[in-house]
Amino acid sequence: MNPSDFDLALDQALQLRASGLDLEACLARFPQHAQALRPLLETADLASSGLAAAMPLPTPDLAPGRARLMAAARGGRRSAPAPAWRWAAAAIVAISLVLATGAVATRALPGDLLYPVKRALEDAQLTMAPDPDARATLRAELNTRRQNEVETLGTLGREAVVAFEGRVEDSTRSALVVDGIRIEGIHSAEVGERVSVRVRVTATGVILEELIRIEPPRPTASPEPTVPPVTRRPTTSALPAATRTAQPATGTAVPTREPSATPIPAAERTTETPAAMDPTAAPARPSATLDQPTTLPRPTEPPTPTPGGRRP
Amino acid sequence: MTRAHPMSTDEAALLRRLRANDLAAVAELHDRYAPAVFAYVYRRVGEQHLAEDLTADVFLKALEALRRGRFAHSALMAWLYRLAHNRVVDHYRKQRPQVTLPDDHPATDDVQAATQERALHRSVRGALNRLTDDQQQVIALRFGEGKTAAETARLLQKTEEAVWALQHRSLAALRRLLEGR
Repeated sequence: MNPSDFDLALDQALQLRASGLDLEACLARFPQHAQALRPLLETADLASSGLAAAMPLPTPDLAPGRARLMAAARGGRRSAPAPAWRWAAAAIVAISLVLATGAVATRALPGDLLYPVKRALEDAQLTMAPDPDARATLRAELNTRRQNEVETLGTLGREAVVAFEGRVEDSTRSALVVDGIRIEGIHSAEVGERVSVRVRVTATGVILEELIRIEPPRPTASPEPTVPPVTRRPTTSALPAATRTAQPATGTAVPTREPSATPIPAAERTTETPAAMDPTAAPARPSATLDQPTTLPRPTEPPTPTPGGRRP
Repeated sequence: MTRAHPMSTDEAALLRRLRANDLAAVAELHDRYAPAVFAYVYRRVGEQHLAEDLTADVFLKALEALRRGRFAHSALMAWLYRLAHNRVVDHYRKQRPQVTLPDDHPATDDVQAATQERALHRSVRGALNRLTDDQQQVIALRFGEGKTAAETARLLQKTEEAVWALQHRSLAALRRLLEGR
């Protein structure tokens, strides 16, 4: 904006008046604008008198206002609407918490508070596996994890029930070794057979067989099993030898000592043994009646248990 | 062309702290600017307690605006003047129609002089309140606060030349109002 000569003259005249110059002397400085300047300078005097006449300023009491302001500021710190970055930060914290919980959960053992979280994460991993090969690889990993849990529980002397799968490496009348883990109990599995087992780890570190199922040989051509697996309850040495003998793979349940035991329907016998035998499995699963460890009695006469996990 | 100065480093730092809900910064804002805001408001309303209340309102409004990210000025004091002006205008809007009424009470010379002075204050404030926002502010800052055209330009976020033209129009409008036209 280009100021007019008059605007400039008015401002200069106002400055002169503010410095104390008399009105007439001031107007005499601007003879060409004097007539137009006079009413404006008089109005400026009125404005100065009218507004500045409230002078001298009283000493204000600003403390109550300050207190109101600070109270509002403190209140706002609690209730101010969160800006976007704050929501983002909260989301990051929440995600971190979930990841941290997951990370902690991966170290959880059966009986721990976070163990169900660990298993849920594993289930999610299996569900999200891109193809059957990846799922099989992951399943093998998870099985190894179960075996490691058994060993850790045995080392710590913590009681828990765990199911896993493995190959029988050694077999005696009262114990067998599955993937290096010594399991006490009467059984009929033979070396080289693949078995699914559910074991109870005792406070003394002994691993007792609760349930064992001999898996059919894995077919090489077809992924579908042709021979149904056989599930057998553990028996004790107190029972007649005949009852402790493994039954042929007829697909019917093996009689056990406990009268309340439920026979395994043929349709429920699958090769998904670790999951089916899993003590942490959901009750809705078909084999749930068998998988409740609380329904199974412990062997009354464990045959000379040996603490520890895998054989050296 | 003279443009308003950018915000000082000091003010920028204070503003950052205010936006971060720093309580100490809120206290500093009040302690630093409340006296000036009070003076501005007091000259506009002429009553101490009212000016104190309105000043407190100005700072509460400022806090609310800061929280909502509505600070768009380049200088805190200019912004506070604007808020103060708005609060005064709002006050007078609610107070109508009691402005510019002459005092008709008979009185002694001293009392009469004081009464006339109060009447002048009311007349000026009443006429001022009928100006546009920019005109009110330029009159209040130039002749109430005694700011120079350059200082007024900075506080109003305008060029100095714009203030020269504005004060011309403002004084002309104020005169017409005071003359009852």
